Amino acid sequence: MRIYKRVVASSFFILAALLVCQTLIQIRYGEPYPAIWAPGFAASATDREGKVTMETAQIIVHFSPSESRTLSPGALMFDVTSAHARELINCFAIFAAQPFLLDRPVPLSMLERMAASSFRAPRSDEATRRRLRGWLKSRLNILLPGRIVQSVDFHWIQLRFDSTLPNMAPSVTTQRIDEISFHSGS
Amino acid sequence: MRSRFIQAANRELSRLAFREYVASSEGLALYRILYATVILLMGLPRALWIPHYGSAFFRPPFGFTWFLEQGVPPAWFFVLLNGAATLSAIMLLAGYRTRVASLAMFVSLLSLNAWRYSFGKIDHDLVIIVVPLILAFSGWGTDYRWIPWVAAEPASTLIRPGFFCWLWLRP
Repeated sequence: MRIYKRVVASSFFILAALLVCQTLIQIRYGEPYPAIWAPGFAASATDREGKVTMETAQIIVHFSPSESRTLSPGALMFDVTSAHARELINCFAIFAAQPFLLDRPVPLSMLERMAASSFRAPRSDEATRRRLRGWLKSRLNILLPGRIVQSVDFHWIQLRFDSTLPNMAPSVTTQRIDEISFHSGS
Repeated sequence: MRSRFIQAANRELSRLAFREYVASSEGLALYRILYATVILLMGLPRALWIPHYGSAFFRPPFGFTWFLEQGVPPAWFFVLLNGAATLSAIMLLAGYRTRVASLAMFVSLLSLNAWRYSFGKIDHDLVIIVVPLILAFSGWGTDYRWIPWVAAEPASTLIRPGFFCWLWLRP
């Protein structure tokens, strides 16, 4: 019983030590997994003005100059949850002319870095670009069988929710940040 | 004066950790059955989508998958992990070798999640996954066993970490 009590008591100290380790890892490398404390809701954190900013995308598939079809990230990535789809779609930001999703926002203090710890930049090397292109082509073949896709545009959308306004007031603004072209044939 | 304060604090912490939130064997066994049922019905299978996405989307956080350069494992790897987790959940449900089943379930679910969260998003379900690790040695397999002819863990070695139970079982 005495040994057991020591084990239980020491586990509290071990947890405290692991917590310190996690903090240091989080500052240096970002949010780890597994972790002692649960991940933060960085995506829904308010800024200094009380605004919550969320990014999403619209995928516009062109079959011809006059015919296109719009897909959501959830429709393109139909086999994962919508929350995962929103994160996975960010990998395609490496094709953007302005790679706004590739870099951690700067400047960041240590506290701000911890708050934004969930940010992980996608890989942007040539092999990854080739794999993403190939993945998109095969996925569109599954989603749109028999259709010949000419090109795909990604429209990046930033949604800003104002948490200080009452519910009845319009609190959402949509802003098109960038548009990229993704030619599946090239 | 100081030693009296430390003794009082020790007593209070000891009461809080070992006596205040003691759970009965029946209660823990019921929780085991409920937990295994929820995992079987709602938690499995998981991570089977990963091979369809592959290395192009791979963005691991600092953890098990951080150091892997080989990319994403083949589909059979995730089927195997899901099979291990399912078998562990069934063993927990039946009350068969619950310590081994608890640890196996923790390891398999944690491994599956480590891969799932290597693609940009980390969820909060670590709290659910840690339950079998915390309760593996609590004696949650001694009651309500479907295979009563297989001996349960000896009662003398049971650990009932009341405070941990309270910490992890509370709503």
